[in-house]
Amino acid sequence: MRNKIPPIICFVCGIVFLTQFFVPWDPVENDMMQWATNSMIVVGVFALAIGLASLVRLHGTKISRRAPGWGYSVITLVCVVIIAIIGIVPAKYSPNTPPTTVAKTDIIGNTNLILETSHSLFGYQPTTEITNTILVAGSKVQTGTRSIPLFDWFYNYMLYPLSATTFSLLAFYMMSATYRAVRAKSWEAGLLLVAAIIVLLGQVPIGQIPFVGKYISCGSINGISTFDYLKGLILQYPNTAAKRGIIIGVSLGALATSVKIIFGIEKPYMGGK
Amino acid sequence: MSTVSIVSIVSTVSTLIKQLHLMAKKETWWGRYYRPVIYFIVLLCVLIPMFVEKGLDIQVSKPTKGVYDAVQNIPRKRQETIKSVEQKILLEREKENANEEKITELEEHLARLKVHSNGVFLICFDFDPGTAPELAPMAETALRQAFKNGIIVLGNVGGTAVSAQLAQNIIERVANETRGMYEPKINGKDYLFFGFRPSPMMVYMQMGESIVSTYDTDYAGTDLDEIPIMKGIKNFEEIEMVLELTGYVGMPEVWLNVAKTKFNRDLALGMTSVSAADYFPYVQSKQIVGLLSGLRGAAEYEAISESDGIAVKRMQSQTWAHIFAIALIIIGNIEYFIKKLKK
Repeated sequence: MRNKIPPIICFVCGIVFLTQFFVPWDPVENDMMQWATNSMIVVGVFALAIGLASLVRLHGTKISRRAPGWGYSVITLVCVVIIAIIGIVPAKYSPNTPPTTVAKTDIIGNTNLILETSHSLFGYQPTTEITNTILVAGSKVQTGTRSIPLFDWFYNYMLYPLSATTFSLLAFYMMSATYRAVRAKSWEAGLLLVAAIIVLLGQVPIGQIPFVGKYISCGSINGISTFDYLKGLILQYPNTAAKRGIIIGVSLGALATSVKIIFGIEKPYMGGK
Repeated sequence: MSTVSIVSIVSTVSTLIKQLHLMAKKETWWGRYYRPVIYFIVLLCVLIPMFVEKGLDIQVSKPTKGVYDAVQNIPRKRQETIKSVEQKILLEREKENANEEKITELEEHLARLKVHSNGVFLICFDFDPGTAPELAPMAETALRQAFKNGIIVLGNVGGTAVSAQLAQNIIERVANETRGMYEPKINGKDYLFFGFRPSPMMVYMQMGESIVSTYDTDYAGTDLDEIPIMKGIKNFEEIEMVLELTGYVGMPEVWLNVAKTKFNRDLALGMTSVSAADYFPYVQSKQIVGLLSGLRGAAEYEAISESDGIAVKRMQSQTWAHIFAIALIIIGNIEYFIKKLKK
């Protein structure tokens, strides 16, 4: 019985919501869809809770067994707890240092403001106050301040820089991979290489670079720089054609897989059983 | 060209080839330490141009122009929609068995359309700090263009909760940093940010029925019923255009299914360079009005909007990095062919 109920639910829901799309009757088209949407959102939130539980269990196991790298698991769990707590803490308990930011205008007679932001170690981004005061160009006015919750502080000064740094490492690895791996070992690889070079040169305004630009740019075609034009041709024709074929193939495959899942031929939700 | 220069060029090239031959055998320090050298040169390529004030002249491509034109046309589209609804009401009234329920529905729709006469623009901020250098300039430029034209801006996040705070920072900063282009914009009156909800497909489908029932509150926790901007917005019928900014493959398909196929709204995409190539078929089939492709797309968008943004300045760094990448490819292939010939 345990193995039969999930496929039955899958079949019933699959058929119901497949036909629902084609039924032009308000209770089915709108009300049922709204109920399903709300249910999916609730399920999505529970999935977050399951993800959190899974994370705690995984790292807890690593810590208890003193597996290699268990120190990082401690840091992970401590960060999870801290972020969860500060996400709940009210704004009045957040750091509220004196403002270090001023705003200036550069247009006479306007109330338009341009922010100049400088941050102290525990600084934050204040918002401006909107006034109808006519300000003299170049004058500086003190902006209004608002307390930024701890959560925002952690996001702006920890998560954002760390995420950006981690992602930027990719650029360095790609460059060394470019040197090591992009080789014309066959004619297909050579063709790929030529296309890659054309797109790399077309993606940037190469003709405007001092010293080397005029030697590399190779003039223009139809008023567009040569490599830009060739890049456009590559992206619009062979790339589009190939990608369109892939999209159609993937869509047909997804359709076939969906039908197999609805009719119980494949049961990925059963964990491979 | 003098004999001396010819000799010096030949000797330089032969020395280079000899070095490359040795590199292939890894007998030199380069063969052992090439990685840190490459990383250092990449750092210089990216860092030094950032101190150069002069920007580059960027040629604008058609996909980027499509996005710009579509945003510029939002007020015109709103006026056309108003006229079309007014005509529908007149036609319905002239019928013998006029459907009063339908007329009332159309009149309510017309009343909502007239609240925001310059149109409504929805931007979906589905990028995280990793992809923000490419996509945040697009978001800023789109926001400035909309604010300059008096268009109401709605913002939401569908992909990941990490994007929500980033999106809020961008919207608030652009709303207040006017640079003399527009009056400072007020949250709840000129723009609104809904925040993040999981299951984007379901959320966007429900937005097609009622945005208030989908989100309940904005990102700050204020009830949507109390926010003045929502008096003129019920669902996608009152939104002219959607701009999806993301580095995740799969998110645009959700908008294509919902906003374009089901509700026939203008859809534009802003993608990272890596992902953008996958969506050119949709540009060709006109399922999307335009496509902003990576930092180049952001720079083109800034150029055509005459917005003094950071993407144009960053193109200097990208240009030198690309030149270095091509140099690495050439050097690597010369080394490979020398090794092959030797064997």
